[in-house]
Amino acid sequence: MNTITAYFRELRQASVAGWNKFWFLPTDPATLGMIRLLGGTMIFYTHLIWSLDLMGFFGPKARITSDFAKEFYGSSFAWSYLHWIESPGMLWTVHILALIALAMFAAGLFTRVTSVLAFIITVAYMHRAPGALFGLDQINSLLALYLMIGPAGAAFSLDNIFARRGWLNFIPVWLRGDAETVGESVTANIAIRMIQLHMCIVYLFAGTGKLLGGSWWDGTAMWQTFANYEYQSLDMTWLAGFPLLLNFMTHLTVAWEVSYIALVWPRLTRPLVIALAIPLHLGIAFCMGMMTFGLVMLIANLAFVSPALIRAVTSPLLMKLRLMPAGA
Amino acid sequence: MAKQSAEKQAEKKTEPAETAGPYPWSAKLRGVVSIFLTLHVFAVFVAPWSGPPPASELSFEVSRLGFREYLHAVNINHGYRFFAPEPGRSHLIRYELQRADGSIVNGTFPDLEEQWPRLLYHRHFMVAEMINQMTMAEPPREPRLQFPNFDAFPPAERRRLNNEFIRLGRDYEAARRQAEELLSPVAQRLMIEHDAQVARLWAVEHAIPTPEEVEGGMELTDPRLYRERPLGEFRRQS
Repeated sequence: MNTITAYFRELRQASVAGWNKFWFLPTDPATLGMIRLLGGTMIFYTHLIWSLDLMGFFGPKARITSDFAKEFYGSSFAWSYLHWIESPGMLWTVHILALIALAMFAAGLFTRVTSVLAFIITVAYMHRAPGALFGLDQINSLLALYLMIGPAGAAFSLDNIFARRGWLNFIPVWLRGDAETVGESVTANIAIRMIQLHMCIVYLFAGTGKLLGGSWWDGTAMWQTFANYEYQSLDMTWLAGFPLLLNFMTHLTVAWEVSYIALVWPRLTRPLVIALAIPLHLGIAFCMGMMTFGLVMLIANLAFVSPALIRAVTSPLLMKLRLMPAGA
Repeated sequence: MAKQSAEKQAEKKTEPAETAGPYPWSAKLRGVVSIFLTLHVFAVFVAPWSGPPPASELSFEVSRLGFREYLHAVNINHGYRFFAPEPGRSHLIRYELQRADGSIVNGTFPDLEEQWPRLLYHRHFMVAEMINQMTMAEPPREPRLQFPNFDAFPPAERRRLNNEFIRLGRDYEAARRQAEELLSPVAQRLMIEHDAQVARLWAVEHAIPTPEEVEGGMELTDPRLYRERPLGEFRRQS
């Protein structure tokens, strides 16, 4: 009995200690800042492209009506301020303001406020245009959510640059952010951990979902993606002569996705898992015409890259551009 | 007894300090935040778990415990079944538009020549895919027609099959209404963009050739790979 009691006591203590260490140790916000810079740019680009057919997707005579969007989601919690906008003039005004806010967010200006706006904008557009969305939007959405939680403007941001030079000291801290005071941060760690866990769940269901399909078992799924004319951006049909290679790529894709949740955490296997993410997602980007989706998945995978490595890679360039003091 | 009590006291003192150490936040704050973190991460899991079929009744019931509303509110209610279960065939919409002067405009969407850059093309591609998905439903067949020996089934089974038929019929009508609510605005938009008065639409399924067919010289755009079904005719609304 003592052994069982001792086991459960040790289990409880180890769980609590592990939980605290996982979530509540402060971390350098460099990784979060880099994800903001790159992910914010992707979110900005996503919404910039809506401009090319704004009326077609969001206007009063859009191909997806407001009523359809509301009924599609079937929940009043699938909110969007775009449901209230009917006039083209107002829609354009609100859209341009949204683009300005997203550009500021990507650049890391007034990030405390613009990160919240970026989340609101991202969700509002998605809830207004069901049926026109795909994986890019799903990842944009999760990044916008978590970048709102941590000090995403504490690194690689205009907030940070201006704070170090004292240029915006006349602006209240709640608006300009606390870039100059944030070193290591608990909320930065929480935000990064949430991205990490969310990506594990994304890949787990992406992989196990594929196991329901025969073509992922018989090795022909990758051929189906390469030979899909509407997706194709690079002709890879020469692979028709290499069926075993196609089988291998198919099986590797599933194995990587299904094992991601387990193998991305250990120190020794993480670099291998993240390294494999690069050809997989660049393949999607270049061969399947989904540059944005391929890139945003790589951006989200950055959550598993340590702040130290991010700083080591970026410091020489930042010092050259005098955006960072020498020896920092 | 006194020795046991003293031992317990000593044990308490040597327990690792869960609330002290390198944590800037107090134990109370960490505890409260931990509740939110646990619920949120579980909600992230519930979305794809209860998502596209197959999904269990348990997952639906769990999602109804407030998770669905939360997932919608923060917009993480997604299945993440990328190219799953199958990469599948792609779908387009072919349209024929008639202008007031009788001239005809033919086209398809998505169309790389009309929609650029690629992200804009992909938006139209997704709309075409959704139209196909929503208009695929066939009306349910009456049990009497499905099962030749239906009359010989036990009464309880006949009742079950009839109730199922009624339910499927209602679902079909709802799907058909929702498809109409999508098709009509799409057709109107096409007519606005091309200054047309009448629009006829077809859903086009583009099959994928096998590696052997491609090695044998078949092009990805071979006409034999396309199959159409009509979606209807629409008139311009004012």
